[in-house]
Amino acid sequence: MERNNVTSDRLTKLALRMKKGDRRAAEALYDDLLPKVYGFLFVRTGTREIAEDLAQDVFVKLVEKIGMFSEDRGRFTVWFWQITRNVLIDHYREKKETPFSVFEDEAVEGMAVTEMPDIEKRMRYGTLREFVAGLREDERELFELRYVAEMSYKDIAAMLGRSEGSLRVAAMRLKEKIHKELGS
Amino acid sequence: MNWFTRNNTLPRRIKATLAPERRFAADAKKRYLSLYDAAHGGAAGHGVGWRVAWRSAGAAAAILATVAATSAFADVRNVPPTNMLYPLKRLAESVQLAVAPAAAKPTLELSFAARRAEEINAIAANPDAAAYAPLVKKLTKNLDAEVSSSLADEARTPLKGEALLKFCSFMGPAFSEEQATATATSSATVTSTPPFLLSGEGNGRDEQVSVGERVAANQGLFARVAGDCPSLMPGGATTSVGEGHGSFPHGRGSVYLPQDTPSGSASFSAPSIVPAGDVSSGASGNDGASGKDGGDGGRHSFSGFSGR
Repeated sequence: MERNNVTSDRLTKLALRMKKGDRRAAEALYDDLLPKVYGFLFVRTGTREIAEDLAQDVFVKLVEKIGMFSEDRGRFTVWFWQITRNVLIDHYREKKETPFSVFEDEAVEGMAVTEMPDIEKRMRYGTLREFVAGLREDERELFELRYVAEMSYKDIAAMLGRSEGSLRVAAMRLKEKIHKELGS
Repeated sequence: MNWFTRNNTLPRRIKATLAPERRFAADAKKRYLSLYDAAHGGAAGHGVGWRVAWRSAGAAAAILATVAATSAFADVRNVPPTNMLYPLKRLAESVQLAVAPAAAKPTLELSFAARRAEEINAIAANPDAAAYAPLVKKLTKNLDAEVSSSLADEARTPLKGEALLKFCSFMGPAFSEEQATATATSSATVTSTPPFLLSGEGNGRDEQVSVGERVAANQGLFARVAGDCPSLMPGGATTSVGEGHGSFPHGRGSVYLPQDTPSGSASFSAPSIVPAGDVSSGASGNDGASGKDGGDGGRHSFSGFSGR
């Protein structure tokens, strides 16, 4: 069984406990999801500050909406990432900002310098930005969901309305690109 | 491609680039959990684990309350050893003893010893008494232990005032004249009232002697308490504490105290109650004859007495 599927099942159980008022489950969900949500939003917005604001918004939504989550309506991971995407969409609608992948190089470079004083980290960030900028829209989405959000193929398929088989094929190609441009 | 086949995740250094700042993660977590607590009306502080713990504690408390109530009932009703609630009665006694102040322990233990004596008597009166021999043996051991504990506790915390009065009253009226008389005239079987009355041949004899030995070992103590009793008892009459014997003027019987354990005497046992009418004869002195079996109709009394 795919490791990410196991994780997804575990998160679903935690969500059900959180819904019933289990604070520890809510805490465990946060610890597991924050790095992924933040990474996803950071890749999308390219701004640490905005990624932080949006990540907080996502978890506020989680608290507000957890009562509506039902296992009958699908796995928690899909439900949660749909919330994340909606928060991001709302952000773009309100602020009319541009997604990361179409930032001008200079703007991104300047932003990276001010927000990442660590040179090595900034260089890695620059490399990552270049890599994502070079992906097609469908590849970028798969990259974010599969490798940043660490969702299972099954959940991504449910979320994007695609078959798992086509996602696996696309992921294989993406893997080669990642290995080639980001290294190991 | 090795890291992909191994982990199927981004290289660690790339993931680190996308990781949130620790301070942000911690602050945001506090806000998130505060919001969650508010949304769940404070109950969020108690997760499933806590609820399970609370429910378990509640169930345990309910069981404890039931046991306590049943034990109290068994104790108040003074159920016999053959009753299924008897262990709970003993449990209630243990609890009473555990929570009692040190000064009250000797009296309490003696009252429990009196209960054991009543229980043994009740079994002895049963036509099927023989079937309960193991139970009688066990109860007699309990009796022995309770008397010994009472004496030991009294030695540590000498009784005074009201507690001493209670102690004295237990040593007397707890065993009625009728019982004593019945014992005095009974055959040599277990029909008496330990620890103060004796059995004859056979049944329970070893245990009876054991009680006697323990009392004998503490006879100085017993005598001291006995010596205090007369002045405390209502009426203050008929007590003679002197060489040969001592008695308690409770009107129905007296406690004879051992002075010496007759060497080789099988009839030696715990202090025994005799009808009030016998006091005078007992008070006339110790001639050593009372240590003999059979001379008093099956009732054994102490051959010696230690006064103060």
